[in-house]
Amino acid sequence: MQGVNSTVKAKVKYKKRHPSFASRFKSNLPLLLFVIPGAIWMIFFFYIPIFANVVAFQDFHFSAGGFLESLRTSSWVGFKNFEFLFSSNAAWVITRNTLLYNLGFIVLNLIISVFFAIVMSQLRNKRLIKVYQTSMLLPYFLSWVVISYFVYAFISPNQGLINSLLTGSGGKAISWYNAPQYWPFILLFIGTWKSIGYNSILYFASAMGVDPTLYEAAEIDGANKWQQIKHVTIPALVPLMTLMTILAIGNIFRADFGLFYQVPQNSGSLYNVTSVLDTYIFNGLTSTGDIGMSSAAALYQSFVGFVLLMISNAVVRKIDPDSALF
Amino acid sequence: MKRWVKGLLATAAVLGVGLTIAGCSSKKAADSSDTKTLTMYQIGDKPKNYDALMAKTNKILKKKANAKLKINYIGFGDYAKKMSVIVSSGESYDIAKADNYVVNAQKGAYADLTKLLPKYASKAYKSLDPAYIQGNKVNGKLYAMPINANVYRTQTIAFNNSYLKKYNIDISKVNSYKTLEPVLKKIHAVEPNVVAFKATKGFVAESGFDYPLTDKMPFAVDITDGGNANKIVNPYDSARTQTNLAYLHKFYQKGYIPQDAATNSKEYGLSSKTWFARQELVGPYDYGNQALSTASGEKNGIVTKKISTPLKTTGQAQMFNWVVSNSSQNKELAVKVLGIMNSDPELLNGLVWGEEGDAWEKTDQKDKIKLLKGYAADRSMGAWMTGDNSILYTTTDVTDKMIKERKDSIASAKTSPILGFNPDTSKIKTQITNIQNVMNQYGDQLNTGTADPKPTIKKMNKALKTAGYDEVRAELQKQYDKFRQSK
Amino acid sequence: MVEIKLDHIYKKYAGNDNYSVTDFNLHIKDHEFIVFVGPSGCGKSTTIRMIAGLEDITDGELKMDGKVMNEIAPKDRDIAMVFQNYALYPNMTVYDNMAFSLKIQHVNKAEIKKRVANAAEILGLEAFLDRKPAALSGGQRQRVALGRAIVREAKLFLLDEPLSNLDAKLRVSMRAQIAQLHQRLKTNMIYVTHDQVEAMTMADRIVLTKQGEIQQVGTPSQLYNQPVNQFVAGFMGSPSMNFFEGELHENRFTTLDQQLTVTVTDQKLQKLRDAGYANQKVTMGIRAEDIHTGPDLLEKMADAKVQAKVDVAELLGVETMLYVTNGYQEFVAKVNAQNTHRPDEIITLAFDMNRAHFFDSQSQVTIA
Repeated sequence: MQGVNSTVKAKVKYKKRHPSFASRFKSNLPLLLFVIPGAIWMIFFFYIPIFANVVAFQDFHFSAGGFLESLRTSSWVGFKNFEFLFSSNAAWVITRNTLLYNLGFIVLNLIISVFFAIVMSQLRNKRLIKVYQTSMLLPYFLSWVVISYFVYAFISPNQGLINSLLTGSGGKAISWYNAPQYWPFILLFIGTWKSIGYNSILYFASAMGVDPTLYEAAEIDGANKWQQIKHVTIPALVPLMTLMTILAIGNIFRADFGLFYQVPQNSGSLYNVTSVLDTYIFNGLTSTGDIGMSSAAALYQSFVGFVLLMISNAVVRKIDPDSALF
Repeated sequence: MKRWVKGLLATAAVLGVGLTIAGCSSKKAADSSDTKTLTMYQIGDKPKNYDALMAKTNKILKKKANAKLKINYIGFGDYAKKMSVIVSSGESYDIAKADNYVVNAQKGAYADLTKLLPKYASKAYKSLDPAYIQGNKVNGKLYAMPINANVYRTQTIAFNNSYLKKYNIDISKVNSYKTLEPVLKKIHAVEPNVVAFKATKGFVAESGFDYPLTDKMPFAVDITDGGNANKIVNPYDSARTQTNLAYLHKFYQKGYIPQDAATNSKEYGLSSKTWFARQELVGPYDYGNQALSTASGEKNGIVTKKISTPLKTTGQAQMFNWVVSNSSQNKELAVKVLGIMNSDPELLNGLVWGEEGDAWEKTDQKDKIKLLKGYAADRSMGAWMTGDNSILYTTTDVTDKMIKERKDSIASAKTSPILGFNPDTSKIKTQITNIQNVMNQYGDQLNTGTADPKPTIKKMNKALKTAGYDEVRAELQKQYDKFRQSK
Repeated sequence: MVEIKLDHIYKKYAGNDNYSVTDFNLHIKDHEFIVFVGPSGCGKSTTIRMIAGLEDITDGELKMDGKVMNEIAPKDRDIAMVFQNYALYPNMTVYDNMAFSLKIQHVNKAEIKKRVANAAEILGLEAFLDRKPAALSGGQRQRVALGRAIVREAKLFLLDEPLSNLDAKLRVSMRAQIAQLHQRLKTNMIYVTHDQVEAMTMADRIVLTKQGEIQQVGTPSQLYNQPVNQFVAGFMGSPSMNFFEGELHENRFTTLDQQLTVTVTDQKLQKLRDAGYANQKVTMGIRAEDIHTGPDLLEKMADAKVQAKVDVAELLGVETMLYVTNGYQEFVAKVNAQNTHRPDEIITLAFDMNRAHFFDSQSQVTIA
């Protein structure tokens, strides 16, 4: 017993004898230099502002001495700033909408972008792949305002393309911006359409990294195209799929503001299906302009996101440690 | 634990250094010359001849107050957002157009001008209609230098005169939405593609109420003759409002109002022929139909019919406020400069009409000018957003009779019972935020006639109740009672 | 188990002007172990991939048991293939890797289990069935790859450089294992390698290719002892055969620098004369092991003695490699280690002229 213990100790001692900080610093200097700009940026724009979250628990008042002085002199109000998120009927609606839409996006994005990535990875024509990729990626770079006009061109009640087709074929025009029943589909479709190109390129890159002899081996083993995809391509994409999903779950309480505000043109009659946390916060706080409440809302979203991310990561770590984020 | 403390100290040190640097630099700028340059934030686009306009202004300012003015422009769409960042970051500007005046004043963003204005800008201060001072008092203090202009407003229906003439439509009987209906019916029959009644996102039906918060919030006081002006009520509960909304809903169903009115924020420019009738607020300095017609680009291009009585309101009083930053190093000087801007005819007319000799020239008559070819909106500054309109020169189109009428009408206009009632909402901001969301959902639908008023108001009131309507109303009533007693 | 015929097979890749495989003819008989060998880029991998069905055949016919297979999908060719990088499915356990092809063909579970167990036993993989490939060593992965081929019970095994990712020692033992496997399974095997030692040790027949063309097909000893041309002679064997440029005068071969002269045996001389090479330029080739320094042999081969200076002497145990120079000519001799020689020493060597080869200097074709 003692013998075992002493060897363990010796091992630990040996392990601890790594090079001094100075020498490690010196040997890694070029790498550290690369890191410096990003690190400084992170410190100033992410880590220092974290302290300003105290404003979420304050009744913020301006003071002549600037922001920090204002922070110091404002009075504490505890969780009062958070109340508006939970105190009305809307709380249930916005939470439901935010969660369900984001769940929808996570699932749709995953399935469809993996699907397109696989389709592209099976294409032989390099030039065609470039064309597909570019055309799929284009919406990702468009602003929501621009997209909202595209959508308007299709579903404007008077001159919209779809209503023209409907009335042209003898149907009745639909007042889209007053018809909530269609919007879950419109929003899911447009949100997915916008982000699909970006995501599928990530998956495509991953799919292209698969050793081509694996496909040959599978072909000889008698696997058809579908079986090759199922047993070779998809397993190769699983780690990335898990990673992206964990990250998306971390953002599940953060809705894409532009999608839910610009595209439905903030139409009141659609609020039941388009109101999400972000638009609710925006609509409620632009008039009062209360920093405390805005910060409270953002902190709430971040906190819930953080908790969900930790949980989902823990679950993944339990099932497949290799795919976990940390 | 220790390490964590150290880290915090280090962060604080870094922040401290940053602040000191910022502090130093601003002080240096102020001390660098004897003539101080004040920073001003203004809404809108920079005039193309900004340098020429400011050269003349700064000459006068230097002579009178040994100061210079530098104006930073922020577009209409960005102003609220950027200003809230500037205000909360504590950036030391001197003068700005107020944004969210009451709330920011309550939060201490602006300098208290109650004593400074009479002292350093006495001429401009005296020229103000009393309604401006009353309407801008927050907790008994004045934080703004309001621009003396349209102190009262009358709600009117404006008509595109070219259609009236073309189809020989009689509007003499129009004085409400009800009496408007037959007129709209006529025009819709002959011009189905012209928007008969322009109502878009943000439109609010006129039903004889004044609003202590904004007209988007369902808290109002009845200002009609014989109404109870002591009680804060939900305007949507009144039979008057419901009748009006029912008419608007009818307009919508008949196609007089565009189908996407509730979401559309299209302008339908005054000079265009895309619309037939619209709702416009008219004030004394509009000289009847003059201002609207000028905007339409045609003489007598627009005629209006009143649907409300003239009223001096808090909204009018706060139409355009100059404020001095609480963090400004030159508060007195800033007030002095505002005083000059609002009392020196040479300076103000040089900004509002543009460069003399190029945009306008004086005539034989006193204070009358003739516009020249060089006059353009983007080579001058808007009258309503610059300085005291009572010292502006007028064009020869404005007769002495019109000026007398203006003065008389201002004197005779009624004052809103809630003028100067600027409630403190800090205790009820949670409820107000929720109510704001409810109103975003229902307000536009109701006012543009998109939704059937009866059932929609029922639904809205239910949502308002859970959002905390009663608490807010009670709090506002409490403050309002206090306000009335102190008057 | 299967008879394979490659009939005038050509392969040309799109965008490439030259044929990668030219006029490849081969008849593989039942239960044969064929090795395709040649330097890299000689088309051997392309050929095996065409047999597997992973590459299209540009021209010619591939027949298995008389049936044309050109258009048959790989899975229907009844083949198994082992890849150089093993191509194991990283997400599957060893068991699943081996069972994959059977699962896909809906073979019943008990049968799959039996076959995998059998393969695992043959290859000594029983302990690793639950592991994923990432947790295996190179040799173990190679065996899994073999196991995957074994469970298929295919008629033809295709092995594409299966050992080249392994270290030298492991390669030797795997070589033996594969040879045993062939004995045991009695299937046809086609084995691709660039290593002539593997070819020599394992093959029933070797197919030596160069730039897409077959140079020689034959048993290892045929290729070694009766190479059809200088390329084959030089490729087979280690160290490489020594070549001397020279001329034939009467019954003697003299190098171009006149420094080395040996007497050609009558039998060879006859062949050379018959082919019209009297007094002509020829290339003589002689293997290192056919050059001797032993006194008895020097005496016996008195008419083929050569003086040379030792550059390097490498002791290999029983033998010594002597890198020597004669005039401008450098060559290698593999001699008995008992005869010690030092660098810079001038020594006498004897060529076993019975075992010398003569090639045409231009066409490099074997003359005698």
